[in-house]
Amino acid sequence: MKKILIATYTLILLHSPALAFAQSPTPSSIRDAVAQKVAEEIAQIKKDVKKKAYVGSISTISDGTLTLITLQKASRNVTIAPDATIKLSSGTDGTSADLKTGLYILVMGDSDGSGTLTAKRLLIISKPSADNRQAIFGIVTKITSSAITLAPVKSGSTESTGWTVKLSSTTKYTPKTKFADIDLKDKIIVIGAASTTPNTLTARLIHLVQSK
Amino acid sequence: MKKEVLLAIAIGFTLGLVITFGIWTANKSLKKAAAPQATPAPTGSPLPTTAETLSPTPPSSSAISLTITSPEDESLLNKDSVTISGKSAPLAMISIISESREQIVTADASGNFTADIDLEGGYNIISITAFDASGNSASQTITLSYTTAKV
Repeated sequence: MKKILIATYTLILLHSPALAFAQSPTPSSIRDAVAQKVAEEIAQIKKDVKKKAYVGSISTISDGTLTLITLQKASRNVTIAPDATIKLSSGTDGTSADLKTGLYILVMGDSDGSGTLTAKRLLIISKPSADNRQAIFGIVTKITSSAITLAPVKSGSTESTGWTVKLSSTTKYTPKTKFADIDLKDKIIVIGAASTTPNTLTARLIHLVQSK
Repeated sequence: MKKEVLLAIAIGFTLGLVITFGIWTANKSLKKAAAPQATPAPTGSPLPTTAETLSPTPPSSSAISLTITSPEDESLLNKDSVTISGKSAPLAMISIISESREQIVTADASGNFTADIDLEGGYNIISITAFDASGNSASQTITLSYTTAKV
């Protein structure tokens, strides 16, 4: 009886470590897996380094680093390289002391996989002005030699009640579009400069989509 | 003496069982954690879950897609022109507004489109809008910079 108990106990003790390691990889395989993973990560980092340029205003600046808010309201981290070139808006050379919160800059350099840019060239620029050009798509409801009135293509559209498109001598047409071909109920795309009058723009380019 | 040996055996046996159970439980938990968390929603569930309640409204079926495949947003280029490539709805009409000009191109039957644009020195804001025949639209704006300086 005693021998049986000792044998059982011994078996359990011997079996427990076997259970512990049964589903675990060996140390060498772990090392190989880690090495492979590290190599993959390094390759990925190298692949992810790209030439990038960020445009925006400086929101924070500290020793050698700054944060930009881009024109699309995204936040970007920038590390200024020790040999970076800094240019003032006048075109003359500047220093990092010229970089101040609120200034607009164009930063060029290498971006890593996380999006952090190592800046090699920083240009202080004037505040970008808003582009008032836009593209609209509508159905012609009225046409004269100086203007076209458009209704929204999408019935029940809440985007707009319609547009007045002013024509000028600078208005251009896409290759297959002629002003004479545009008729009522035609669908056209207009790219133009929005005027201060609501829902009015001056056409720069007109494209006839389909004719009735 | 015999009693002590038996007690030691009993303690050892119990300890072994506890350790074995612990290892088995740990392995089971690890396997469960590694498995994909694909939990299908119960059918006929009378009430939405909290996650369902808080999830954003899905885009309507009339939405149109627009993806700019090349170049990447915020790219720095050393040439004064670039070809913009993208994908939208089949035969969608794509308006492209760049710094120097405007153009309208039509996507092919697969929705792919390309357009060559000229770049000005410095940054260029490119606005791209896709329209389908029903009046649905999607827009994207990318910023591309052009410099001849060594960066």
